[in-house]
Amino acid sequence: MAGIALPQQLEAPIKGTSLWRDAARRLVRNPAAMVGLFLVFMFVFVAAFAPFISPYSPTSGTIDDKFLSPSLSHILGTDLQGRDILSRILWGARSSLWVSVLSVTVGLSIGLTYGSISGYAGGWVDFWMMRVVDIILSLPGLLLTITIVLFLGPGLNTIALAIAVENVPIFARLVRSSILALKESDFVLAAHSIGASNRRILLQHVMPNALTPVIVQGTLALATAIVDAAGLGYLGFGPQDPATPEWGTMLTDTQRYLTSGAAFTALFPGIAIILAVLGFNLLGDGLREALDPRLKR
Amino acid sequence: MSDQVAGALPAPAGRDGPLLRVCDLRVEFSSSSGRVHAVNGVSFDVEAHELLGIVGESGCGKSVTSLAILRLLAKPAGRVVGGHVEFEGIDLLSLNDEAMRDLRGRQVAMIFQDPMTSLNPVTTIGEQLIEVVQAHTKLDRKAAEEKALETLDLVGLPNAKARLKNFPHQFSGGMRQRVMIAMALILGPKLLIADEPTTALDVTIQAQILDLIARVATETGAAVMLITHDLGVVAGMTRRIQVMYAGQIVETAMTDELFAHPRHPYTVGLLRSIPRLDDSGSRELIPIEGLPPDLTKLPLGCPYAPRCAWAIERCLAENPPLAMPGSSEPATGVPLGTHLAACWNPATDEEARAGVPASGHISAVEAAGRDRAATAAAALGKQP
Repeated sequence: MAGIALPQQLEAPIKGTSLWRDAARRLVRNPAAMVGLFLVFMFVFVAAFAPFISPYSPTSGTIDDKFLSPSLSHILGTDLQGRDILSRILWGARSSLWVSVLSVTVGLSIGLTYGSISGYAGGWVDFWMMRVVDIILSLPGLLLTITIVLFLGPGLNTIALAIAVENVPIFARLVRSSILALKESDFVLAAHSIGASNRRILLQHVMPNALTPVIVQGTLALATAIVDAAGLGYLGFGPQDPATPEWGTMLTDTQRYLTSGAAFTALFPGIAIILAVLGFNLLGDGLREALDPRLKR
Repeated sequence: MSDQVAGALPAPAGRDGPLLRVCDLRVEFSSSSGRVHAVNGVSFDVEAHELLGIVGESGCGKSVTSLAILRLLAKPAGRVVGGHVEFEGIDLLSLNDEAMRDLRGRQVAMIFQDPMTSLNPVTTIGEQLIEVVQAHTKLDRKAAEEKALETLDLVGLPNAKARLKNFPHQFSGGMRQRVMIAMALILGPKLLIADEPTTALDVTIQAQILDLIARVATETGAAVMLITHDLGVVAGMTRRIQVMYAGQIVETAMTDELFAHPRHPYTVGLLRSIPRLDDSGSRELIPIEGLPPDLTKLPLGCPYAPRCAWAIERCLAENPPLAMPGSSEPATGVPLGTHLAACWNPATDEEARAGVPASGHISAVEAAGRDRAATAAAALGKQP
C-alpha cells in the first residue's frame, strides 16, 4: 500500500446518493413537473377514493333533476338523466385510470421483452422482429384499435388491450435502440470480460440503464391512453354498462344537448380529461429532464 | 547474435509450455469499405508471472489481439479467420461458450482503457465486485463481500467498507481504475490483460496505477500483458516488449535490449519521437511521417515500407518475417526474449541513435520517384 494510500480524512465516506435519488432531487426542483405530479396524484386519489368522496351515486338520478345548472347541491350540475356530474367524473376517473394503467402495463411489458430480445439477439432475429414492428406501425392506429375492439367487443378491458397493442411496437423500438447502444458500451464489454452470463448482463447491466427512456415514455403513454380511451368511449366502444361512468362516454351522452343550454355537461368531463392528460404529460417531461444524465450539472 | 540471445528468459520451471500461446492469429472485421485486416498473423507466448508489454499506435491491432484472445470481438463484424490461441494448453478458440465464460475473469481477466465508462453507472461498485465472485464461485454474499473488501484493500482503495455502497460516479478516474483492477484481480487470474490502463488517466495518476498493476500482479502471481501506445509506460515496468504495426509484430526483445538496440525502423522511429529525460537537450525529436496503411488493402510488401527511410526494393515486394536480425528465415523455436525483428534492412546501432539511415541511403520509396504517394499507392494497391 506504500505511497498509494490517501490520508483517511480526504476520503471520508460519501453519502450513497444513487442516480435515482439524484433524479428525484432534480424532479422536485422542476415546478412544471411538480404541477404534473400534483395532478397525477389528484387523479389517482380521486380514482381510489371515489366511493367515499362522491356526494351522490354516479348511477342514479331522477329525470326531474335533469340538466340542473351547477349549484351548491350539484357543484357541477346534473346530466340528462339527472345524475350528479361531479360524482360521475369522480367515478369516471376509475375507468380512465384502469384503462391507462392496464394498457401501459401490458404494452410496456410485452414491448420491453420483445425489444430486449430483438436488440440483444441482433442479426436476423432482430431484423425480422423489427419488420413485424414495422408492419404494426404501418397500420393506422385508430383503425387498428377499433378493429380489435370490434372483434373483442366493447368494454374497458378490451379498450385497454387495444391501446396496449398500439403501445407494444413503440416500447419495443425504444428499448431496442437503447439496448443496441448499451450492448456496445464499455461496461458491458467489461462484464463479458469477467465472465458474466448473458442473462445476468441483460438483467443487471443493460436493463437498468435502458429503463430511463422507458419510464418517460411510459408516463407519456399513460396520458395518450386516457385520450384514446376517451376517444373510443366517445365513439361508443366504452363500457356498455351505464353503471360504469366513463369520461368519453359522458361526452357522447350529452353531445345532442350542447346547444340547448347544457354545455356544462360536456365541459366538465372535458376538463377532467384535459387535467389528467396534462398531469401525465408534465410529469413525463419533468422525468425526461430529471433522468437524462446529459443534463446533470 | 549471441549477445541478443543472452537476454532470453530462463526456461520456465514446472509445467511445460507457456501460459498463453498465440499462433499466427488473424482477425478480420467486415465493414462498409471492405474487409479490415486488423490482425495479420501474430504469434507470441506469454510465460507465467511475466510482464509483457505490447506497444503500437492506434489501429495496429494490439487491442483486437487481446479481445480475440478472450473471444470478445464485436460480433458479427469481427472474427478470427486463422491461427489459434492456447491458454495452459487449452485451445481457447474452440472452447464452448460455457467454459469460455468460466475462464474469463477467473483465469484471464482484463482491465480496460476508460474507467469512466467501464463500470455500470447504476450499480454500486460493491455489487459489481460481488457479481464477479458469484459468477464463478459458490461463495455466499457475505463471503463474496469479504473478498471484495480484501481486494479493494489490496488495490489501495481507502475506506473500502464504506466505499462498497458507492456508485461509480462518486469516484475519481484513478479510484475507478483501482476498482477495475480489483474487479480483474478478485479471483486471482493467471493472466491479466491491461488494455491501455492509464491512457484515460491524469499523468500524475498514471505512475501510481502502473505501480499498482505491477505490484498486485507480483503479489497474486498473475502474468500481465500490458498494452499501450506509450513506450514510456512499458519501459520501467515490463521485462519484454513486442512492437506491433498494422496487425503484425514487427519487433520483440527484452525491454533493455529493445531500448538499447532497436532494429526495426518503426521502433527506431517510436523511440526517436518521444522525449527522454536522460538525454541531453540537443537531441531532436523526429516524427514518423505519413499514416499507417489502410487495413482494408494491405500492401504486398512490408506495411511500414511507405513510411520507412530504410526501405529497400525488397521491402515493397515482400513482407519480411519476424526473424533474427540479419536472417531472412522466420524464427521458430527460439527462446522467449530473443531479439527478433521483421525487417529486410534493419537499422544499425549507429543509425538507431541518429534516427536516420546512414548517409547515402535513399529510401526505395523515394528512389522510385519524387511522387512518393504514387509509388506507395501502387504498392498498396496489390493484394497479397
